[in-house]
Amino acid sequence: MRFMVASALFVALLNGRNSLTLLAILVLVVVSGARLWSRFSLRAVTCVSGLDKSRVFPGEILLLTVEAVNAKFLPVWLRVTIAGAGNGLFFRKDEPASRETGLLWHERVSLRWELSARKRGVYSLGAISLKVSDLLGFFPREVGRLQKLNLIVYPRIHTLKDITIPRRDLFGKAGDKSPLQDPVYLLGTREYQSWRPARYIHWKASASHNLLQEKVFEPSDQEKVLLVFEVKGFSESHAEEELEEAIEAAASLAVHLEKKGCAEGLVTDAQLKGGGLSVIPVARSSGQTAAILETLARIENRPERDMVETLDRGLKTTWGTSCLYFTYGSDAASPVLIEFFRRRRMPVLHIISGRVPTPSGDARDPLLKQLHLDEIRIRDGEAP
Amino acid sequence: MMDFGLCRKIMDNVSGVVVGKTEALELLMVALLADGHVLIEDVPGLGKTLIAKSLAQTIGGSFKRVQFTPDLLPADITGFNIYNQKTGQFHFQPGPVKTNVLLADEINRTIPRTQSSLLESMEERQVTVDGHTYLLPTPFFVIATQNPIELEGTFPLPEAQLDRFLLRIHLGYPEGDEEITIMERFKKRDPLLDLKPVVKPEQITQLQESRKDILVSRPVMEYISSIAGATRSHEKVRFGASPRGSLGLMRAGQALAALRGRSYVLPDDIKHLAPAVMAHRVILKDQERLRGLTPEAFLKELIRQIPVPSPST
Repeated sequence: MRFMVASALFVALLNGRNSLTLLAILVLVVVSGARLWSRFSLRAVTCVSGLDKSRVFPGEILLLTVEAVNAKFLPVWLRVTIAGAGNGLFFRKDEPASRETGLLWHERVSLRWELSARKRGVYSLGAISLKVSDLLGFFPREVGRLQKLNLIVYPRIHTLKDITIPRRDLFGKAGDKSPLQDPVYLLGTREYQSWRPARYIHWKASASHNLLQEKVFEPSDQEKVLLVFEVKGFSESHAEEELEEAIEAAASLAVHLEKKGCAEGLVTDAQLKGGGLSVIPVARSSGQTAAILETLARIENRPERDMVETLDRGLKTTWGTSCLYFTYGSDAASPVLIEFFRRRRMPVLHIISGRVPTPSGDARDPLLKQLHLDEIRIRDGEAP
Repeated sequence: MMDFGLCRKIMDNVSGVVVGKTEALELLMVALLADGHVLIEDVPGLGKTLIAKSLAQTIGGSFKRVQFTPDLLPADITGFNIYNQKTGQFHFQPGPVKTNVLLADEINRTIPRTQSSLLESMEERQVTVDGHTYLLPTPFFVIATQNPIELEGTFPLPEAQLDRFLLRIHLGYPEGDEEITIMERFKKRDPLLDLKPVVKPEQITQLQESRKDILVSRPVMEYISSIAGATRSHEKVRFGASPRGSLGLMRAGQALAALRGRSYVLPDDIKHLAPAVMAHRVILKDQERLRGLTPEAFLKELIRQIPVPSPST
């Protein structure tokens, strides 16, 4: 362009056209000035990006802020482009991914985007590109890309029906068959429930109330629950929808168990997006449920490791740990894994997600119970 | 008005044993002056028990320590009636609660029933056993400790119990050369063994009475109320701070003003104390908690947004 203007200037000078000469000089000065402006516009421009939340639940709104500062006297033009949205993470109100603004001398501008997370997963809002230029926008220059912003969208949490997790109590007997009453401490009494063993009846309190009362105990031992999530069956059946439902159920149970004060852990054979812990040992600490939700958020429909090997190597289960075992179908459950649980006398609640007939389970085995996911899910209008 | 310089003397004496932790020590003094109780929460080995024992020893009076375990029963705290075979009468055997300073170590390791047995003592300064009420000595100061990391085999304190604590304090790791000073100080002998009381319990009671004369202006009260109100109506909160929390914040504000040699409370005192007084009274929604938001961080952000009353208001 400058060559053309220079040529025009030469011709104008040669022919003595004053107006054309002036115009050509003006254009030349403006273009050179703009180029020089563009070159200096890069200096003392700083940009910082940030998300107001790094962990969200589906449906929540998050705010992406890009703050730009021009710490010099030369005004600049700035364009910020956000990439990485879509596929579960969307701009709200059809906002454009690109925004432009002018930055005057020593001015600070804050650009905001509202994003909505619709699907669990791990997102990287990377490639936030910045372009600066002179205010005429003739010579844009890319400043570079801002640091990636990582976002974890947890699985959706639902209210589920109350389920009884099989427990191994004292003397290795499951549940009420234990010869001893565990927990040990008497907390109080309540109205006797017909399905409870008669030995729990508090006869003195019953006589006093003229109504059968049963003993309520304080737990002397906290429940320990291990969530085992096997994606192998889901992957083989390409069951994406069922996988999501099972993950949401596992996450909901993890939150529910935490509220009950249980110690919990998670083991999965899945490939985890962006890395992560495939084995979270059973514990009860402040960040335990968040760690489980994060691993569930990272699960992809691809197995990466052998489940039995993972359990054998990576997990030290303590006595009294119950297991919630999630698989696609009853036939997808590994007999080796079932045998693994049986060998360790771990009570198992096997939760099946696939569209297959509900199995009845082995009624003789008090340590293994089976349930279909539909049996614990609450449908619309149904009471919990 | 009483000379609050005595408080500085107490703090200096405790500092002879405890290295650093100036802020935690100041907050402990605030709780003592405000006639409240303190919950010290942090990971093991940071000096929770040491700081509590040092303060107890410094203020003289009687001191009892109870190691809370799962088999501890309410009667082990409050006391019980014993049948005396000689006289044929029952007589009351007071529990460790009958003291000036009670150190409830690892309070979350005991069952909720035993934790609750402290409720009446903490709030009303009395215990009731078999229908008889026994008054506790004054001052009565409970310093409870708990470890927030390892929750296995613990029973989290119920909300009603937490509300009884005026402040929740975190100690944090030693800074800079403090760790070396700790090693030097404890190299030969435990300095706690040489710690002498510098005040009498009656003087503490007098200081607590004098603290009530510290002026709290209406704008400051309104500021406290607006903080408490904001915690109740905020979208991230399930349960906000109780009126007991507001009252506690006002008392703590008076105590801090006294400690800093003022006869009036400044909004800055309230701003400084609000996270310690309110954080354990605020219950965040599950979603917020699971994404890692802590009540302390939430309160700091909330307080930043609430306008501070200016001198003209």
